[in-house]
This record gives sequence, structure tokens and C-alpha cells, in this order.
Amino acid sequence: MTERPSGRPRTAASRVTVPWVRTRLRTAPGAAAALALLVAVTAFLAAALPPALDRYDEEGMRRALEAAGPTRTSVQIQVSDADMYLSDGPWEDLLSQEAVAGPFAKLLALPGRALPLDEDQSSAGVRTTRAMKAPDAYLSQPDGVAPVFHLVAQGGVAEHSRLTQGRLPKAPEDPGPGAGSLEADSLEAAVTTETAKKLNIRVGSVVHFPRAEGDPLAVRVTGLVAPREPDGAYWSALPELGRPHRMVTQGPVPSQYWAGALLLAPDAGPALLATPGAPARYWTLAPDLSALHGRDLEALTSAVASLEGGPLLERITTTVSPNLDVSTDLDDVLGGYKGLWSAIGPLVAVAAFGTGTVAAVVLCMAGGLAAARRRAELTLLRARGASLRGLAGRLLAETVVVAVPAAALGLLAARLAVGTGRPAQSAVAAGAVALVAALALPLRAVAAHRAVGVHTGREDVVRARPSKRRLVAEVTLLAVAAGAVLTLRTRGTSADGDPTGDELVSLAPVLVAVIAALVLVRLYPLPLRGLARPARRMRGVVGPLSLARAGRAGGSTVLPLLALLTALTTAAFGGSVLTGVTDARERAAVFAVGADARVFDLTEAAKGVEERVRRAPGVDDVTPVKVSYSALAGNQRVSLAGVEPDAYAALSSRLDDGAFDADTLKADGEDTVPALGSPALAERFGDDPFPVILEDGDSFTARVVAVRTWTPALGADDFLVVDGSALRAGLEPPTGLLVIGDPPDAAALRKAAGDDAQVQLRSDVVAATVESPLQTGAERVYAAAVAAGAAYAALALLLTLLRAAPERAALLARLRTMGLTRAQGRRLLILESLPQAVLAAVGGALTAWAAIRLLAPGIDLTTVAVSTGAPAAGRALLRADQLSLLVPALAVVALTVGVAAAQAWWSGRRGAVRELRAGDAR
Amino acid sequence: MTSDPTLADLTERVAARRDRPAYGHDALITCDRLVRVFTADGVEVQALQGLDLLVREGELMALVGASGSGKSTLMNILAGLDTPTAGAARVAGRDLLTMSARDRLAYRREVVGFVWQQTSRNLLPYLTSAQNVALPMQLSGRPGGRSRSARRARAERALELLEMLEVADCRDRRPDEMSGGQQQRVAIAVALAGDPAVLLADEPTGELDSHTGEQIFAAFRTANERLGTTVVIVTHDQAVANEVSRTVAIRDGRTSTEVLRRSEVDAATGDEKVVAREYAMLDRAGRLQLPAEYTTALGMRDRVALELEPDHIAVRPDDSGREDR
Repeated sequence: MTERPSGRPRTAASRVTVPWVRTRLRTAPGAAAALALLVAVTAFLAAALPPALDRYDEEGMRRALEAAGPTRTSVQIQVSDADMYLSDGPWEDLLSQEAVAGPFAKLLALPGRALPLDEDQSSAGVRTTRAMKAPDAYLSQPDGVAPVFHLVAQGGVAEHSRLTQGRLPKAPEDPGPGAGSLEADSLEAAVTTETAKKLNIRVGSVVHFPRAEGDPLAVRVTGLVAPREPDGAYWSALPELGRPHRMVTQGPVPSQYWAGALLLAPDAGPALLATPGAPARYWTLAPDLSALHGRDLEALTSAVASLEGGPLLERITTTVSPNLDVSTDLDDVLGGYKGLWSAIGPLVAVAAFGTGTVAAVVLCMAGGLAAARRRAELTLLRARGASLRGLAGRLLAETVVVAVPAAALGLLAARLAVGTGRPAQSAVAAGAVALVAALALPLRAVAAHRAVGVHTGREDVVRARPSKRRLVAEVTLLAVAAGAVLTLRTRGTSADGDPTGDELVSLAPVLVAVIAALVLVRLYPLPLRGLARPARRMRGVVGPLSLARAGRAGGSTVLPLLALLTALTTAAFGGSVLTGVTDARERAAVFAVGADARVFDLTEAAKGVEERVRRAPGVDDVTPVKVSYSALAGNQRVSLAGVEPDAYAALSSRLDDGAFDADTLKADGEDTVPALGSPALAERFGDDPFPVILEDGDSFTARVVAVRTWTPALGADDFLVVDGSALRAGLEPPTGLLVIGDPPDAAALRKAAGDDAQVQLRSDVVAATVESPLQTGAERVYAAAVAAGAAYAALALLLTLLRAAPERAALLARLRTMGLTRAQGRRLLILESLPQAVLAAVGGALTAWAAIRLLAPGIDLTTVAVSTGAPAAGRALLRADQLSLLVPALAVVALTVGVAAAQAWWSGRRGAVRELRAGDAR
Repeated sequence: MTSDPTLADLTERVAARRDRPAYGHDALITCDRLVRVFTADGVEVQALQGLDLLVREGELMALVGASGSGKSTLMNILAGLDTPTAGAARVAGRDLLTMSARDRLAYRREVVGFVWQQTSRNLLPYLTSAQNVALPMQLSGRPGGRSRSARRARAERALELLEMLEVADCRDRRPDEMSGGQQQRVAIAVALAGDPAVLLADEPTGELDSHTGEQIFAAFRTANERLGTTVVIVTHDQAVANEVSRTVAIRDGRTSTEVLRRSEVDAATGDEKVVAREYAMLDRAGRLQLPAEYTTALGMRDRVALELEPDHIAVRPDDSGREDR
């Protein structure tokens, strides 16, 4: 007994009392660090989801609004004619600058925060509501039709433009109250440089507008202005203000003409009474796009509705005038965006729920693993007099100290890396992660150590008789899950209107996985039990031994199996969605193009194009077609294509849609030409022959011999496809070329086709289908979720294997003393782990297949794949993608086998002394 | 046994029975017809089949028996880690059958301390010896447990215990820095930390060599003598009988024989010598287990003939068979 020199009681007291958390952290820094890492990464992912959603939501909405343009998104308020007729004051006053600017300030303040407005881009003024013809000969007249103009006295032209030439216009001198400015014969105006260029206007040009009485009104152009932001709402909310538009007359022969605007001085409003254009005050309120958020969609929609016909409209009418129109397409734009969002929302939710479940399971498993590893220690603590509450408290303190800072770190990292949207949701998500991580170990320990006792019974699958209470709990869970799935099946998955998705739909893969996990865990020991007996008669030692070991593997495998199944289902579902989306895009592109590329609008002069296109790099085959879009079948207008039957049939069959037998289409010189027709035509004419007249006067009698809904040359409208030899001029020259290639070189094709012909590539169309950041964002979130889910599933697998690792190492060590070779050891571990891995893989594939079958009817990928307005390619339905089903499942098997082999290798290298120490009863 | 008792006789007899002290009234540990049945895979195994045992306060005794004789089961029951199926078991006035979870916790904290066979399982590997000893006191969470004085008191007691068991030099070492014997002595200190009435030890020397084993027994004796703690040691090692004053053998879930050791002074020589004498246990129903070697030696089977003599009972092999056949 050696006495220590130090003063005993004081220092000893501090050394003897155990600072639990500190001691534990110091004892197992590795475990604490691993938990911290797991929690930090999980919290990061959980906290990153809300801002990521927010970001693409926001970007998507902004893009949708930008794509719609100021013409549709701005709110137009215009005083109607009645305002003028019903008033008794001098009309000039109603059009004065004060009458415009006064209400403008109030209008800008009116919608408040619900609809933030961009004051700079909003505009107000007086303009003619009817366009007026200007028959001056020097103005550009493409088809000999005189251009039309609006006269616009909009405030702030000087601030929003740069004067390039001349001077800004002035309002005519005020002739005094009551004196008819109707008599004013000349006005001054500016035009934008673009209007000037397109319409051939110069400084000093005078535009004349004939009036019903008297001389025409002369508007002298005093200057040219260049808009500072030509695409901003100020210049483009009114269509013709910034740049002239090409219009088309109605009637049998369409002719083009220009429509433009002449910019008057802001205070020249009253002078417009001298024009026949029915002047009116107007205000254009441009929404501030940078202040609009996807998450405010509801408020925004209701604000717009209120503006168009609600309380806000009421207040506008009291502010301005009872007679006014408020119009905007903002609600349509928002509605379209909301439709896209609600189509994409459920898909993203499926991924989020799936990955969330897997992550939660992994956190629980990590707690379970820790509890299992520390079982002896915890049993000792309980035996030495630790109360259940005390034990839980100590463990909770341990995990909280690690989990809470780690989660906070993850949250911080997520906010820094991804964005700052939806802070509350991020915090809640990270907090939930911390909570699960902190509670898993204490709860698990409390459950295991509720009764203090010596655990001596055999705890394995084959003989395990799970308690009745557990059976009841599992059956209850099973019933709930099955009920939910049944509800889903009978009710269908189409959740209308709710952009966040129906939780039941989103949970479906998880529910299916829960059912499968519970059922499989119960069924799985049966074949093992059945096999164990005959296997004993096998000659080798490894086979029966591994089978027996697989049967005796640790009891509770529901959690890891659930994690694996959910992850596999989510991954396969995601893979199928992404494949489906790609397929839908390809299909839409094929529908739009009809081949890998298409050259069309070929003119008579473009001879030799076909040869040149054939020689272009990447081109495998070219099918010439002669297309007429206004042929008459009977008296119905149809699209008609003349083709070379063999080549066209080959092309059609290659695109696996619209395929037909070439021989049926061949015209063999008889009177009736066999034709391929659309269903509508076939229904109309049946088997009867009918006359076909082409634009060039060619005519023949045709009969529909085959019906297809789609054909490469013409798409899916009413069409006829006939043998080109039946046409008077044959196929020479073709009007279009359908090009097959891998892929054709775009630049070379364009060069070969010449300037006049148009070239459309399928790859370009595919690229163009992805329009909204909402779509790309959804895809990205989905891909990230699937990747994270896969990583967690792999982790779950590793945790399961890790849990049994010491026991397996001990077994190998013992068996090796009995003469087991390394190769046999390796085989043993691999064979032993295979049954569970195969179970998970097969179960996962089945679950995924079932989940996809279950959800497919309600999931329309068309919206995700191609934006609204893209050519209709039919509904893209969700199909189980074999690759997505098989690859993750096989990865599970490969990973398991890999880990088993690695462990065999590792324990083969290490000495076996520790495992063989007596007393370490494993 | 008289016939036709009068009412007065009966009353007297009942009163006498009532006033007679209850079974084991003066014992610290009382096991009365203790039964423990395990059910595994539908097969019932009777580990204890009506075991009777009395241990008086301050005793140092050993329970010996072959593997599977039920001694570990008895140990777990006494430790409050297992509940008997039937019978009665009382330790320090607490009924082990009817204890609630809360009572059980208090029981483990205040009444019993134990030491297991595996040296490594008695101590938390990441705590020093002193901390391990202090831990049960900390866990029991007595009022004022967090105050400075309470902490100092705990430290004092921990060091005292270590010193008493002659492992004070190990107080700042972790279990893996100590020998098996040292670990086991620290474990005894841990078990004594809560100042228990009973110290239970399950094969405490199982992993140790005989010399170290002797040291451990010395430690138990020290605890028994200096603290007055009742010590019950379970072992399969018959040699233990030489180390303790009372050895009870368990066979087939029942106590069978008992060896008492006491020192006697030889009247002739005046030398003091230790006398060990083996007894058979007589249970309350009057059942007696005869040692197997006795019965086989005399070919006793099925039944024996008893004769009551003035100072003993003679047991003879059954001799009625010849006439019967």
C-alpha cells in the first residue's frame, strides 16, 4: 500500500465523485464523434430541405412571372368611357395631369404588403383607347395596310428613357378654360428608336390622323427616345409602347400592318380630346417581382382576386372613379404556377417522407446499437442501484451534450449553404433530428433495463417467441398501414389543390415498407427453420453452419429491414419518376419533331438539300416527305403527307409509334390510293373512298386502309399519309426531310438545309422542355433525397452488421482454433449474411414495385416532364423502371457481402487473443 | 400423541403453536420452501424445488453445489434480480416475493451488495477504483447527494473501504490496470459501498488462481468481521468449506447437507483445532436427504427402516422385502 503524498480528502473528493458526462465522453470519444457526425449531417439535410424548397419555389414563381411578361403580370386600371359621359365638369380636367398623378400615389399604396408594387416600373397617364390609322405613305406598310397608332401621354418618359435625337415633346399651349382644345390641329410626340426604325419615322416626321370632321390631326415627331429598360413593365405593360407590333388583319386574305405608339408630353392629356381615339386615364401597377415569394402564393392570389373584384376594387373605385376597369392576367399566371407546384409537390413529398423515415430509423438504430453495446454496463449500473429515471437521465445527458450542438451546427451549415427561407421549418426539422438522436439511446435503454435481471435466454430469430404485447403492437401497426394503403387504393391518389401534397399519398412508400417489413420479419425464419434440418446432413461444414448462424442472427431486425425497404422503395420510386420524366420528354420531343431532326419549309429552289443533308455528319438516314397542310378530304381540311412507303414505314417503326406495314400503303396504279389516316378521318369515311384535293389542284381518290393516332411527318392532328407516287408531282421536290441520326450535327444540318429551310432537332426540343426552376429544382431535390436515402440505408446496413461484429469476430476466432481456414471463414460470414441481404433486396424490389403500382394512377408526370404549353404527348404515366428496381436491390446484396468479406479479412489479420479471453462471454 | 383431546387441550395447543416463533424469525435470510420454475420452449425446469435456508446475521457462509443444482438461481433471487415462483423468501425483513419495482430498487441500494464471477463485469471499465466504489453511493441519490460535504463523505468512505480491503494503492487505476485479484477486491469494496446487510458473491474466485482466491476469501472475512456484514458465497468449489464457518450444499434444487466448522479446544491436550462436521439438512416437514454415497453403500432404495432410539434415529436398509416376495 503506497500512500500518495497529496493532501487526500480535498482532491480525492473531486477525483472520486464521477462527473458522468465528462467521463463518458472521454471514455468513448469515437462513439460520441460518430453520433455527432450522424446528427450534424442529418440535421443539415433536414434543415436544408425547407430553404431548398423555398428557393426553387421562389425561383420558379419568379421565372413564371418573368416568362409571362409585364403585359400579363401588371395590373391595368383604366377609366371607362362612362366616366367621361357621366361627368358634367370640363372634360379637360378629367384628363389633366393632376387627375392622373393624384390617384396614382394612392393606388400605389393601396394593395399594401399582400401585393408589393414596383413604383419605378408602374406608370400612369392618358392614352387613346382606340388605335388610329395613319395613312401617311412614308410609314412602313408591309402589305399595303396603313399602320395604327395609340397616342400616349404617360408620365415619366424622360426618366425612363434616353433622348437620342431631337427634343422631348411639349404639350400644346393651354388655350384657356372651356376653349375647345378639340380645335387643336397639331400635337408634338416622341417615338422610341425601335418604333422609328420599324415604321420609318424620323425627327420632324408628321403623322396624320384623319378625323371625322375637319383636317386630319397632325402629330409632329420632335424626338427619338431609347428606353432604359425596354423589357421593364414601364415600357412593355402596354403592348405597343416600347416597340411596334406586327398585326394581322382579319378576313380571307391576312395582311400584316404595324401598330405603334406616339409618346406625348405627360401633361398633354387634355389635348387628346382632339383625337378620335377616345382618350382615357390609365394606371399600370407593376408587381415587384423580387418581393414576391412562392410561399406567399395564397395571400398573393387573394390580393389579386380582391383587386379584380373584391374589397380592393371597391377602394380603387372610391379613390379614382366609379367607372373603371381593372384587368390583369396575374391570377392566371399564378394559377398556372400553382398547378405546376401542386403536381410537383407530392413527388417531392414522397422523397422527403421516405428519406426522413430512413433517417429516423437510422438514428433509432444508432441508439439501439449503443444500448446493445453497453448492455453489460447498464445492467451493472441497474444492479448497483441506479433507478430507471437516473439511468435514463444520465444517458440523456450524454446524448444531449452531443446531439444538440451537432444539430445546431448542422442547422447553421444548412442556413449558410442553402439559403435563409423558412427559418422556423428549418429549426423544427433540425430540432426533431436532435430530439430523436437524443432520445433513442435512453428510451431503448429504459425499455431493455426496465426489469433488472440477468439475461441468459437465447435471443435469436428461429426460436425467439416475441412477446404477446409486441405481437399486438405489430398487428395494430400492420392494420393501420394496410388500412391506409387500402384507402389510398380505393380513393385514388389525385389530390387536388393542395400544393403540399397529400400526406397519405406521400407516406405510401413508407406504409408499404412498414407492412412488408413486419410481414417479412415474421415469415423469414420459417424457411430457415425448414432448411436447418436437411442442411445438417450436408457434407460441408460451412453451409449448415452459416445457415444455422443466419437463423440465429440477432432478434430485432424489423428496424433495419424497414430502413432498407423504405430506402429501396424511395430510390426505386425516384428512379422510376426520373426515368419516366426523361421518357416523357423524349416522347414529347419525338412527337414534336417526328424524328431525330426535321428539316422543313423547303422551297422549290432548294434542290439538292436532301443530298447535302444525307452527307452531314451524324446523319444515318433521311426520309423525304411532301407535306400539304391545307389539303381537302371530302370537304374537310386535313394535313397530307406524301411519302416513300418503305422508307417511311421503316422510320415509323423505328420511333416505335405510328408503325405500319409498308405494303399496305403502296399505290399500285389503281384509282383508289390507300392512305394512312388519323382516327377522326377513319371514323368519318370508314372504308369508303373519298376525294382528296391538294392546294396545287392535284386530286385523287383515297381510302383509309390503316389508322394511327400519330405519324412522324404530321403529328397527331387530322392527317392522311399516302404514297408519294400517287401525287402528280411525286415527291420531287420534298417539302420536308425527316432525319435519323445519332445525333445529327445541328450546325452541319443547318448549313446543309440552307437559309430558307428550318431545322428542328429533337435534342433541342428536349432541352427546351425543361422550363421552370420548379421542375429542375424538384428533380434536384428528388435526386438528393434518393441519394441521402440510399446513404442512410447503407448506414443502416452497416449498423446492423456492426452490431453483430464482435460476436462474429469471437466466433471466427473460436472456429479458427478448431481448424477453420481463412477461406472457410470468409465463406461462412458471406453465406451467413446472404439470407438477410437477399431478403432485404427481394423485399425492397417487391415493395418498390407495389408502391409504384399503388401510386401510379395518381401521379401525372407530364407536368413535371414538360411544361404547360409544350406539345401534348399524351399523359406520361409512372411505370416501374426495372433498372431502378434492380440496381439498389443488388447494391444492398453487394454491400452486405462486401462488408462480410471485409470483416473476415480484417479479423483474419488481427490476432484472436482478445476474443478468446475467458469470461468475456459473447 | 394422545387420543380424545379436550377443548382445553386443543386451545392450549393452538396457543402454543401461535406463540412459537415463526420459521426463521431470528434469521437475516429466510428461504421457506422456495420454488423457481423456468419455462423454456414449453419445457418446465424446476431450478428450486422447495428450498429451505436460514442465514443468521453476521454469518459467513458458502453455498456449494454442482452446475445446475440451482445455486445461481437462489443467488439471483436473493439479489433481487429474479422472483421465486412460490414459497417465501425474506431478507432483512423484506419479502422478496411481494416487492414492487420501487422496493426492489431500494432493496438493491440498501440491503444487498454483490460480486460476480467475472472480474471484468463487476466494475465499469472507464472508472477508477475509487470512482467505482463511489458510484453506488452516487446512484442511490440520497438527499444532499450533490453537496460538497456529501461528496467528501463518499470519497472518505470509498477510500476507507479500499484501504480495508488492502487495495488503496489502486484507487486511481482503472480495472484494466489491475490484476484479477485486485479487481475482485475492488468489486467487494463496491458491493460494500452501500453498507448492505448482506453481501452476495457468485463464484467470486472462479477466474482466479488458488492463492489469489485465498486473498479474496480473506477480504470477505475482513468485511464480515470488521463491518459485520453477512456474507453468502456461492461456489462449486468444495474446498471453500475450509475457508468459511458454514457450508451448505445444494442438490437438485434443495439444500442437502451442511458442514459446520468450529474451533474446539481439545480437553486432553489443550490444543485448539478446527473441527468440521457434516450434517444432513432436516426440513420443516421432517424430510431428510441422505448423502448418495451412504445410500449406495448400503444399497438403500425406495424405502428405509427407521427406529427411534433415545438419542438418535437409526436408518436401516429395507428388510421387509423378503417376506413380501
